[in-house]
Amino acid sequence: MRCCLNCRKGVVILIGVNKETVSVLFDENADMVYRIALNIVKNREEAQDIVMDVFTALIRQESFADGGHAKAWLIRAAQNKALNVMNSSRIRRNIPLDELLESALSAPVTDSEHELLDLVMRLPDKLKTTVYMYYYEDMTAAQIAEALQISENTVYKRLERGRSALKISLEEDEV
Amino acid sequence: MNRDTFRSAYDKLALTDECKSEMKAKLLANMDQQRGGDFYDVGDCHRAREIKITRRKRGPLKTALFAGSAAAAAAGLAVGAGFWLNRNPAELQHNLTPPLEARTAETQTVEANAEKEYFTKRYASGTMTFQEFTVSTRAHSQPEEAVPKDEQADYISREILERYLLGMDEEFDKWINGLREDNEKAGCEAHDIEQVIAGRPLGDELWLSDVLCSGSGTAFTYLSKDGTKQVNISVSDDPDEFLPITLPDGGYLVPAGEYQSSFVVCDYTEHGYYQFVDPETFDLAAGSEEIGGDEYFAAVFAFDCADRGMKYYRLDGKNITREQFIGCVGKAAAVNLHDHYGYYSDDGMNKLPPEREQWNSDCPVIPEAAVEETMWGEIRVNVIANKYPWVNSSYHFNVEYTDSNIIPEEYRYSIKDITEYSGIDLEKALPEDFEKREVSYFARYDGMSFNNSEYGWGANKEMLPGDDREQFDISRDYIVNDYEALSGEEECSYYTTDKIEYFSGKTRTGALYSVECRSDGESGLIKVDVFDDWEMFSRETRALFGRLPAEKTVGFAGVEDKSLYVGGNVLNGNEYYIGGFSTGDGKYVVLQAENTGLDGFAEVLAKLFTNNFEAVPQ
Repeated sequence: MRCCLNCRKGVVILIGVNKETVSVLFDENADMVYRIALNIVKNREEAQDIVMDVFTALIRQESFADGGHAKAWLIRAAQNKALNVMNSSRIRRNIPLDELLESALSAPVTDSEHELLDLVMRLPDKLKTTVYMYYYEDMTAAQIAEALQISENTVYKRLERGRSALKISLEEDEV
Repeated sequence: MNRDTFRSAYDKLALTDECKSEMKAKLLANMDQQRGGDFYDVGDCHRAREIKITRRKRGPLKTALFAGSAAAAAAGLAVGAGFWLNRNPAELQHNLTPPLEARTAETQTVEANAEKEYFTKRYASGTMTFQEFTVSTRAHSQPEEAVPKDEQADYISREILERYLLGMDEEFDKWINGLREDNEKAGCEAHDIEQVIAGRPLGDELWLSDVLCSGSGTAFTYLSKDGTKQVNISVSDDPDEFLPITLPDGGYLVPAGEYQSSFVVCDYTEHGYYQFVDPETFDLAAGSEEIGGDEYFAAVFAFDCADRGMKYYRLDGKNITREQFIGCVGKAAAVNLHDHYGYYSDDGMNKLPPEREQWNSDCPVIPEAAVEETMWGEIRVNVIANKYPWVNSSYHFNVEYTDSNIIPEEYRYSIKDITEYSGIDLEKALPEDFEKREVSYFARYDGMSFNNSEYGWGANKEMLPGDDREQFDISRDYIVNDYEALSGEEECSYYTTDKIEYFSGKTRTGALYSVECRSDGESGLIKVDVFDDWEMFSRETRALFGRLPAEKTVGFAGVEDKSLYVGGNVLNGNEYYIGGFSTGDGKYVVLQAENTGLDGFAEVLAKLFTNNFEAVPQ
């Protein structure tokens, strides 16, 4: 039985949503949700609110097919909540990127790191999340496709465009 | 820059420990409030159990089922495996309405129907109306070769479990019991199990009892443990071959008149698209009658399963609930009866709880299509319930071109190519102030495949029969191979153009041209797709029509001889419209617009639809 449209391997692992799993999921994924939200809303406070919104929605779920699906769900929820916020009236002002990064960073960054974050933040939303998930979260194209509910082809396309935009040159052994 | 640089930078975008602690405490407190404390906090409930349902090679029976004797069942019941169904309502009506003499051969009393109120309900993809059925004793054939039990369980669970398991069968029961035992050992509630078994209309009340097959059809029988409840499902190449539930005094139910239920061909789960321009529908007759204190149900319909030919379905039920029977019909017909992709109740009158919201419509209920006045004439706007990206629509093409491809100018695609392909001058149709334009092109070729998969996608690695070595070698330069750095499983490549000599002898089996344009500095977006293959069209985003089938707009912009279908809604605060029509030569044009206003959308649509750029508002 496939547990989702992307699962072809015929294996389902079920986990219930209880306090322990929520606690673990929060510890493991809160920063990820925050980064995804921050990427999109570019507002630290809003991103923090989105983290709470996403995990509050999580506790309403009965179960997930497995940990990977929980992560996929969190990513999708984070992106959707952030896009909803962007489409709603909650965010009206644009915060300069420098100011945003300064307030959102938990430690000092080098110039090259700052430059990269700045570039990523300027990417269109679609590319930004895909690039982040691939390069930072070590997710495969199939996992990204499932998380974002897009085709793998689209993932590849977005990565290509993202790399092109970022001018990142990756050696094969680095990937 | 590399991945490490990326990681080191992003590591510093993090919540502070204090912030995380505070959030987590609030979250867990919320959980206690929402879930009543300890109910979910029962130890090892999260412990994973692996359920292995790997696909096996077909046994002799299954081979036979697929090869011939039960090809009808395989083709019909496994429509979800990716077969596209073509319906021909006129033909169905002709073939399936029982002859008059059959309807008059009544041998027992059916309750007087003169004042009977028949059930009728609007579903996501059509309307189910229970109609009058009468009793026939007309002779018919039926599948008679019993399929051994072990083969049944295997066949049902391996091949049709996911979508077509209607009740229980032995293997499914073993599986569920194993899961239950594990959960009990872990001290957990059974909510996981309920989720697994949800969606089967017969639940665990009725069990698969027998499977019979013949040279042309198959019949499945489900029975309750006490034998009082029963469902039979028959699928055959022959309209006169079926296994009905025989009535107490003999005979079986047949519809007394023309078929009164109608559904649109729409299988989101597998095909992932809905052909909203000239959508195909099929008719169905369903009903129930009380005879001798028992409630009998029956439904008949047929599909033209493309190259598999016409398949005739008959479902019979006894003493089950109406919703169970309708659920069985929905499963067998592979139509989306019950909900609007999880966002609305089955009749579209209630939006489901907010946690299911994703790219949601702002409508609390799904309204019917409404006529809107534009400067270019009236448009019947069907409601778009949702617009969402799709997962399962990949692997349908061999050539993928986008403007970001780095290839010589002569091998690139432009709006001129789309114009040539469609016969519609897109350059003139698109608004001048939408300056940011991006062209993409996708094509599918006969016999071409990256890994010889059934989908036939990607760029072939080896020469194909008849290939010229030199041309093949040159073609390697026009493959997107950025992805070879990915792991082996994910390796993936496509041709970036088919304007090279290598493709001159190849047969293109599908094409999709797109141009997406944006208004500078505004949120306006216009996208035009021209294609001949709906599967390819829906590769990224789609609109989910709330009421199906979509209703046609007639006479827009003075055009009387072409069908036009329009949808629209406000989705997450953005105004969204979609309109599509056939060019009449096997191609379709679909216009999507965001935040252009209805008149802005209508103006572009009018130009595309009329192919007349001097046209003035009506």
